[in-house]
Amino acid sequence: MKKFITAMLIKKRKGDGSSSSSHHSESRSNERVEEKQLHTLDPFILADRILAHHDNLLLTHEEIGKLYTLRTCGFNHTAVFDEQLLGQSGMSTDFPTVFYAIGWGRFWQVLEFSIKVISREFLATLKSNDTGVTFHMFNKDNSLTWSELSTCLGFDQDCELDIDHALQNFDLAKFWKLITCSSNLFVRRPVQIHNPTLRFMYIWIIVTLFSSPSMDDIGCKELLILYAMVNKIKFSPVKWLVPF
Amino acid sequence: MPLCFTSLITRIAESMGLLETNEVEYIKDDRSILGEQMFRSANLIKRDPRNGLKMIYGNHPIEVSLPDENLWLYNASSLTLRLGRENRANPIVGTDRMTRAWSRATQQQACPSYAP
Repeated sequence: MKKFITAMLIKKRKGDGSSSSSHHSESRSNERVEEKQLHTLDPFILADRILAHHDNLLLTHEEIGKLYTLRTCGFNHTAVFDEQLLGQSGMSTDFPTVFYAIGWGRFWQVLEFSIKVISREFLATLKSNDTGVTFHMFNKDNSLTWSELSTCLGFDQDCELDIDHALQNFDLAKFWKLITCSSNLFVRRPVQIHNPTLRFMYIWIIVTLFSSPSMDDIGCKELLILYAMVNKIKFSPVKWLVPF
Repeated sequence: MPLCFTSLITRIAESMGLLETNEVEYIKDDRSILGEQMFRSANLIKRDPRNGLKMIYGNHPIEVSLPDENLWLYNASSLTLRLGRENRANPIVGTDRMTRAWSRATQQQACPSYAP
């Protein structure tokens, strides 16, 4: 749009008549300088944020597109386990032990209630880069490093942010066999897990971190988290959560 | 599909102190509770005649009474159990059926409990 308007302006100036040839020549010279300057402008830059009237949010065109996509999504509070079930199954004791071992002691109980407006604004404007994330809340720019985001969410400060490094010794076949006795990696069902705590933990993971329409097969990330739990590896999954 | 990790976004806002200076409206829906019914319909646990909680393993005869401290993650000597021979004569509690029930139950996410 900006380029189009610029081209139109130049065209209009070129069409302007002048009776004086010297003036005409000077005008042409100025015109060339001006044209050169205009062409050295940065390539197309998105217009500044505009007001999305319905939501009263200042967003770019791209962000408005994301916001419209989010309109079709429902928003629920994050589900939690029934305290009575946790108590009767012994998980009220074992869950905290495991979560503290991997540095998630302040993270795992997600009791906050959801706020639709900021959730939509956050998700529509969230961007990540090598150092962290940027997002809008209440129409203001915010940025957090990966470490700050991890701490904000409740993960311990000494949790490793480099997931590949933290879980580098993970061997899918070995670990799957360790928790199920199965050597078949093509069928990975939650019900194949033997240990009661790991079964409960798997459900916690898919409900709290990676809500999915299908619970039939266990994904690699879920297994990596179970692996970290078994081996007491402190790591933060924030770099997984943001793209998700 | 509803987004369920939105409580984490609230946590970020809270941690940054943004909720102290801005008025917000919380979602009024009830929060889902993952309760016993969900686990039972997924054929993962059951109640014995004495009302004790047991973890079950599909067609295998083994049942684990809960709570069992010896099976807590860092207490267990092994992460697998001796499940015993699979009973293939009874297709009702087959693995596939369990998985489907699990999926269904988890998606329904049990009964709503409390709202803000």
